Amino acid sequence: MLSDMLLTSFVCVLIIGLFLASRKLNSRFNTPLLNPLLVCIVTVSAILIFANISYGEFIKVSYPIHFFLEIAVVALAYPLYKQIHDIKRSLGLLLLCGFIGVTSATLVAFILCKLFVVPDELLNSLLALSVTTPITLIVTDGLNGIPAIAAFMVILIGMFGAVFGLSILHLLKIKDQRAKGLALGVVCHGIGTAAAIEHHPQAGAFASASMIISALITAIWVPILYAILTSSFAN
Amino acid sequence: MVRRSHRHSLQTFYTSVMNTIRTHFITSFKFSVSLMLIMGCLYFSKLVTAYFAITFPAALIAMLLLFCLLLAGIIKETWIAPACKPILKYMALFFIPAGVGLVEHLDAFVQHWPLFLLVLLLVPLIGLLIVSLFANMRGQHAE
Repeated sequence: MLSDMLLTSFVCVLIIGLFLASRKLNSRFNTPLLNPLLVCIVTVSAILIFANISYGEFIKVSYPIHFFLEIAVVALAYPLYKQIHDIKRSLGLLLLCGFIGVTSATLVAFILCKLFVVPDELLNSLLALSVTTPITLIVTDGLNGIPAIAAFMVILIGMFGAVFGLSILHLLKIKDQRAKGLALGVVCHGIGTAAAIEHHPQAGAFASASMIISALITAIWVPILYAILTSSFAN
Repeated sequence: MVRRSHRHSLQTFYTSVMNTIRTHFITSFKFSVSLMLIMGCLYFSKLVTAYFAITFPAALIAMLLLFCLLLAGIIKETWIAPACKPILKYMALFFIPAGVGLVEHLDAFVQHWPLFLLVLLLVPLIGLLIVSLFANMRGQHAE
């Protein structure tokens, strides 16, 4: 019992240390490629594989950290509320763009999965990719998908957007900063928002607002869209 | 003279210690209260989803509930800020255990890598294209 508690606190302290170190590393090199979460996930996964520790054992001892995942999701209500006050005027545009972005991401992933004929579990893991990581984890879990795969793809999509997003928008001849920010916030969530903030303050403001709006839309709309899609493609 | 200044420095030391303890106590009290509010929403939603056998994730219902309570002015923004700010700042930490679940599904990536590659390219590309063109169009309309 005592040794269990010691092991748990030891592992949690190690994870927190690793996380703080990777945050430092990221702020030092300032590149989206060194995403702290991705660095931590890859490092811990590699340790588990090399030390031959099963994931079941790991999740048991890292539970105190995992426990805060749901609390973090609830805490998202705070920035949502703060943003709603700031952006009342363009709320309609934000809601529409969030809706379009989330729906197109889900549809693209769904069509690709149907083309490749993959198991249902994998299909369910790729339907909520256009949101911030905590919402992905929770929504994917609710759809009976694999949260870890969804989170991994979400981080990679965010990195893709942060690295190539602005060049793609330039190629599309988008000059309106609001449109740039909206697209990056909806599609590439937190990591894209960070890139938008660096690019232009107005783009950054619209990116953070649209990121939080698309989190709300995904939470409500994706489970419904999933039910519609699966029932119409049941055969 | 020396004794007096000594006593004086002891006095300032004492008050500064007491002040530090007091501020720490107030900070941790505020943090606990706001964490309790968040957890209250979460566990209330868990009860509701369990009672009515709802498959919708409880954490999302709790987020919407807290958002509505804030909008209605029942919970004040300043009550939950002390816990929300640090939790949101270090939020990514809490996703690590769930994200490491990847180790159990490495074979899925090996087996279906063309799908993952296409999803990784097409989802952000099409999303950026549609959203930015739509927002651009709407923005020009508005002006």
